[in-house]
Amino acid sequence: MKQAEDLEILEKFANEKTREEAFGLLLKKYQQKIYWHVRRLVIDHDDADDLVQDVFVKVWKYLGGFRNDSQLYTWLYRIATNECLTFLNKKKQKNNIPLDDVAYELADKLQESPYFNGDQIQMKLQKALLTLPEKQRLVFNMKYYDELKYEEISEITGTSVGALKASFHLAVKKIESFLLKND
Amino acid sequence: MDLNNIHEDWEKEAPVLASLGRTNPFIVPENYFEDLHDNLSVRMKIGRHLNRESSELFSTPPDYFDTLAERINTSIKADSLKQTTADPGFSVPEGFFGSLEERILQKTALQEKQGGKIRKLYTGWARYAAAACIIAVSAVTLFINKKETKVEDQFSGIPDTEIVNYLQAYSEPGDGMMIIENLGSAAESAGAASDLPEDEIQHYLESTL
Repeated sequence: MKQAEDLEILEKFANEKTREEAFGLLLKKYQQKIYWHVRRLVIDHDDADDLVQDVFVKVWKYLGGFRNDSQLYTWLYRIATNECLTFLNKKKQKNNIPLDDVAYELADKLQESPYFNGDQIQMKLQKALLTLPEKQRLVFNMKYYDELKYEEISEITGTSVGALKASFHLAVKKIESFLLKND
Repeated sequence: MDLNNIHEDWEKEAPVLASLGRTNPFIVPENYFEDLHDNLSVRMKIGRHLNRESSELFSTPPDYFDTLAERINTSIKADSLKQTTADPGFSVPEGFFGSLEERILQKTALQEKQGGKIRKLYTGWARYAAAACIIAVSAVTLFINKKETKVEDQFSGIPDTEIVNYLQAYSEPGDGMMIIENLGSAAESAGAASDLPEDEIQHYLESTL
């Protein structure tokens, strides 16, 4: 079934009578993308579920004010990214631990998670990713898994394309080093 | 490394990573995405309900806000008045409270010595008198009952022929009817088992009447 175009979704959403329908179409089109983007950052499914719902509740609330000055999905990604970063920072503040230790906590969750289906090498890759600073991990995920263009990532993160390229390159080097070192 | 062509470069620089492919190792619970829309709808309904204006959920007494400012001002004035006139103006002699306890104790000790005017609710002799009356009444009742029983016991021991002979010897003219009546009731209560034969009774009645 062909997914609805963003313009169609926005037009239907603008009409009160078709707003619910528009939201359903939007969910159908973007829920998985947003979910996996969030899940790769926070690792745990339950946390990801909460955050995804938070994201779409915000979308429902603010989509009416969307000015169409960017792509709809970059706008959605931006909301999702901000929710994730806020969540991870709160975790750090709540437990009064450095952000590195948040990564250790996520690595433990990864180890214990019933919703991880990867083999040993995949586990190793995820642990390697968790050694990266949050924003670098974010950039890596969007480039490596979501295959977004640097311009799109720049719109989402507010970072220049050049900085993003450098960040991604460094991330790749660190991960490769981790994979080789810990064999 | 050419930043413009970094996509290809990184695969060359990270062959192990490149060999892994973009495999997603994470999974979700069954029907998670199918149910996500419904779960979101429920959550948004709850959110809409919680975000309702307070005035829709709670009410206030009539004219509450109209008089609120005045009541707040009154409270403020009362509070400031309390602060400025904390001292009510009364005073006590020096050392009054220090010696108060001692004086009270002394007074109570003195009252106990004088015997006090403590009235008991019930005086001692009244209790004893009441008990004595109850005992006396009980004793008399018991005695009377015993006496009556004794008399009846004595009479029941005497044979009927002796009673008849006595009555024949000592009865007066007026006793006849009385005797007949009593003999009748005695006969009924005795039933068929009567010690005296009928002809003797008949003879007696003829002789006394």
